[in-house]
Amino acid sequence: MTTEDVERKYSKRSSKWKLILILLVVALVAVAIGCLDVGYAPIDFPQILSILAKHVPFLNGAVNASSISAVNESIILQIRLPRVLAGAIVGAGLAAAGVMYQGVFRNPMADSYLLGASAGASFGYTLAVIYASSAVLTVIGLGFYQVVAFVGAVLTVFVVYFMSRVGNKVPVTTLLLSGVVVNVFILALQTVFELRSGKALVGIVAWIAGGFSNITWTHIYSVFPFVLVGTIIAYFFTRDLNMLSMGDDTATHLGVNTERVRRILLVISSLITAACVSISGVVGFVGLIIPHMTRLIIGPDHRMLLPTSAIVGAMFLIVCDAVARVATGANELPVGVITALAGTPVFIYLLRRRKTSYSL
Amino acid sequence: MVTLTVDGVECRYGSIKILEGVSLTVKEGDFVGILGPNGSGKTTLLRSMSRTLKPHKGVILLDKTDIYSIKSVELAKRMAVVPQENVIGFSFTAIDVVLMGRNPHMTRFQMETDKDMTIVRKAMERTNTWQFADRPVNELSGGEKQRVIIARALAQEPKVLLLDEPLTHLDMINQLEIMDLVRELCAKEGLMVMAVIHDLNLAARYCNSAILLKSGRVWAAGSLDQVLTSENIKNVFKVDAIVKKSPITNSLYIIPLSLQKTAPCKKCAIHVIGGAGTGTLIMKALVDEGYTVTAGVLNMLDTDYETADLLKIPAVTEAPFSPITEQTKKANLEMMSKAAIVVMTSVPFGYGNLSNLEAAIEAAKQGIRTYVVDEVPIECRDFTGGKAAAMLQELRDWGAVFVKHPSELPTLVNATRDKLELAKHAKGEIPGHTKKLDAVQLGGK
Amino acid sequence: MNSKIITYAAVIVAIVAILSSAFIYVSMQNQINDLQKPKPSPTATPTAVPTASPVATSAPAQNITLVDDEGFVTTLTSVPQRVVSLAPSNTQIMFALGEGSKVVGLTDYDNYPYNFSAWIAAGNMTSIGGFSTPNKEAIASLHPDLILATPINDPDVVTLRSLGYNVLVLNPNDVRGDLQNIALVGRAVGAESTAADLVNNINNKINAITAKIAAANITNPPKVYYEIWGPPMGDLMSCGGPTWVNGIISKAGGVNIFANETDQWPTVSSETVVQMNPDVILLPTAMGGAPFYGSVSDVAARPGWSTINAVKNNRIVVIDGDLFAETGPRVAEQITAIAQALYPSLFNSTS
Repeated sequence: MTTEDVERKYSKRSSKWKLILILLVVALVAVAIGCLDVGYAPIDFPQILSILAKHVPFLNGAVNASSISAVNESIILQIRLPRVLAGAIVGAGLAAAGVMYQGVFRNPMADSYLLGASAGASFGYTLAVIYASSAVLTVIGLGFYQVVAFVGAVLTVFVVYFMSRVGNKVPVTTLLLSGVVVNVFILALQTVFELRSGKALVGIVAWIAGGFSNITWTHIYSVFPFVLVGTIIAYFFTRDLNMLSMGDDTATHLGVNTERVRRILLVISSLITAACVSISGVVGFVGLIIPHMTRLIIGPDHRMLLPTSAIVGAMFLIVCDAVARVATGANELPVGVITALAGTPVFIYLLRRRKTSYSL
Repeated sequence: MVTLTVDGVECRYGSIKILEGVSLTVKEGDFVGILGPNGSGKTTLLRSMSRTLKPHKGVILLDKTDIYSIKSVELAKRMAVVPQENVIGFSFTAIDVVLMGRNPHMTRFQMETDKDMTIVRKAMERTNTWQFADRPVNELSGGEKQRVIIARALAQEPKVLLLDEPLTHLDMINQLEIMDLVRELCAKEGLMVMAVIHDLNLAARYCNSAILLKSGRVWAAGSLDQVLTSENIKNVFKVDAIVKKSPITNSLYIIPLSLQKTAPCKKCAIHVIGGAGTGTLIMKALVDEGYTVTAGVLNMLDTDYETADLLKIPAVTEAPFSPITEQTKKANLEMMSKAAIVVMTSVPFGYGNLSNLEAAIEAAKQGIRTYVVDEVPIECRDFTGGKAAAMLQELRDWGAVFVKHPSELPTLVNATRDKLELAKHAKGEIPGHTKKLDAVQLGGK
Repeated sequence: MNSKIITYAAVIVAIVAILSSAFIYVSMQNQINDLQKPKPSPTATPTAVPTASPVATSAPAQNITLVDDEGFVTTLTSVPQRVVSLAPSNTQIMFALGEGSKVVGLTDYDNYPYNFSAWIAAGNMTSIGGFSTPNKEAIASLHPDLILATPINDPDVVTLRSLGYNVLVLNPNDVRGDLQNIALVGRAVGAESTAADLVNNINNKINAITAKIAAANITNPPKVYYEIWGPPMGDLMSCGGPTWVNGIISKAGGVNIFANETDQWPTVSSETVVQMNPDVILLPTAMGGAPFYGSVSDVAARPGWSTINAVKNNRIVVIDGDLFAETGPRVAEQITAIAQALYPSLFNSTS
């Protein structure tokens, strides 16, 4: 490989990356619109497109408003579209957070629930349902549950982080262990309260199992900023993530302030996770496996891995939710079931396709 | 003028002191070899200088500023580290890895510029790694990986380079190339290098100063001549070594000697009569076996003389190119009388050293066990017109044992020594009588 | 280091506080706005329902204001013609009121008073999903003008209300609350008089039972153990104080041995049951399935249970689990069934 070849290949690489990203975004939009066609109510695709076009400023004129029924419009815009968008946002958020956690912990088993975000959210939700139900429903509004879940998640991660401080540093293994311990502890508390919850138990368990059946536009507005801003900020730390993955010492020698970078990334990814879990419940698999899947195809460079994982995660969750809402007639399956069932074979296939053994 | 000062540094792991009271100053252009046996604290010293391990006591100053008060980005612009272990499990390409070296010079929001690429390319070409720039790093061999890491360090454009055993996985040509490169950078660009090197010869050849550590303390520091002496090597590494200067490379080289197998036997002195290089191997072998060896008569500048000098063997010497005088011969005889065994090598005889043969006969007459190594037939090495041959025959008559090859010697000598010891115990006297001894009785030949 | 923690804590609390208050405000506003939105009018023809013409309704001109069991106020501007029920108890109320023809959607678990699964399979009725996961699209496709829910559906209720639907949440804690629900639904669908009659009917039946028990001058009301779950399927579970079944048992003249438990479904140990020594053991059959406990003799044979009065006197009674699964209009039947189990001499199966 002559030097000119290497140089050419390298400079081509950044344009190749940009192309991949654009293609992925286009694919995401296509998948999102496609999945709008999936649902209990049989609305034909052209009508879906008309409904969407009606709300886009410059396509407005081309649409025959009278051919759209109010019910269908309501179903698409108030029920299905928020679900699809939520699937995209949560899928992107959890995948991006997973990339960050795996990079910070240098551990392939890490996902963003590691430090207790999911346990804290579930527990907060449980307590709110048991003790504040009537007040919430009549006075405050269901948004209260979402806020409590969010706060529960954030507080738990906070506690785990400060539990693990040794002097000025937070050693990675201590953090991992603290997370495991706190998760187990909260799970125990959770079980006690679940057993005491009586009729509310079904609702609690259903929420924790994860799903998008009650997504409204308010949820979208409240969570989207977290995921968008968080991922953008995280992007500026992807070079640091690359160096962190070489080892703490090496990263320090290359000028990375490892403590600070780790702290910032954990805060960002935990906030993203808390926001996502507060609207979708605990959806597993996405944060753990999507980063690995993308890494197998794209490589370990976080500058590419972060955005592609987010987009792939979004597409994946949109599709899984579409399957979840029609798999068994009117009844819905928890979306976490679909993510695991669908994702595992794909992951195994990718793993076996590689000729060399998998290394992180 | 960039300087790195280490002052009174003490490093600990828990409560165990690894380094104590280490102080040194390094300046631009210095290529310092950090030497010492395993566990002497070399890597710890490097780690304290690279801010990986905070010293318990003492300060480390880079240009008069405490390195712990410099932000790590700033430090990374001036100091690069190549650690001992480099496990890169990820499949980053080589060029990606080297590009990471440019990180301290790039702001967070900046992408790599052409200038960065140029620097990276230059670093990779100099370390011979450009040809696999786009191969994943975890597919490279240990040596190739090592060179990539070195290239990354160079890409940082540091003023100080810390290397921890950078040559371990490299083959000979790569070792020489890297050391050449580093030395050139020190000389031409004022790079300051501190390298932990196990291979003393390589260190001696390329470094321009050294620091020798023993058990966490500085044993010696300064120029190579000052640090790499036989005594220092013996004290610190517990190995006897010959330190010589090679006229070709103009640098020191160290030849470690074999380890002593048994303690020297004080009662057993062996006197070697040799010269012209015939005695070198024999003297060394005997010293290895633990005997107290003496030699004579050797002319100065003779090869065997040099060997005796190096092996610290007491020898009776004569002026160079001069025939052996009576006085010298007497001294020789005196020395021989203190020995229990005499060994004569296949030394060529001329009129100048014939008196050695005479001395040997004297020894044999006195009953001192005599061996003659008859590797080269006397006809080929007799330059006295037959006199030497005749004297050798006389030696034989007096009971000297002739062996064909020096390798047979130590065994025989051992056998003799054992017998002598036995005899001594039995009779309570030091054996030595004038009676001619039967070769068969002595179990010789 | 301390100041750093405080700074972090302050920053995070501030962010969370700002975001949550903004969020709560926005969501409250949304709810208010959505409630003021015009409701989707029923346009398409309703799905085919079995015969039984709708009951005559009162004049639809004035608004009907309803307050449900969660205190939520709903105002109907016309009499609902298309009702979706999210729970079997609510379906049963509609049919008991004779308004079954208005029901256009129900759950997969509805099976009384008709075999609704067959209706759904035949395409004569629409299922909107399971108990805790009602399918919004299915509901929307039916464009109902009234939805009857229970507290299990709370999250869905808020979503449905935000989409503009009228939702009543019925949560009876006792018999009186249940009867009030019947009256409420009657008022909502314009069947007040039918509802009043039904309520009276039920009250009379219940009063007859309680009078008979009072007249019998029982000094020691029988202690009742009602087993919701148990071996070999799992741990023993009974119903505590704040449950529907507990109320029914008291009305039927019994004393639930776990009436003092504050948990709704306490898990209890075998020895507690033995020590409490109930006089009657009630085993509800599973809904349409094999009983979880095996058979009555299995229960009697449980270790240590031979000393229990109910076992000694052979008073382990199997009751219809379906009947007891719901609140609703069959409350009188529920009380009767238990009264028969507790006082077989007073209430043989014909009374």
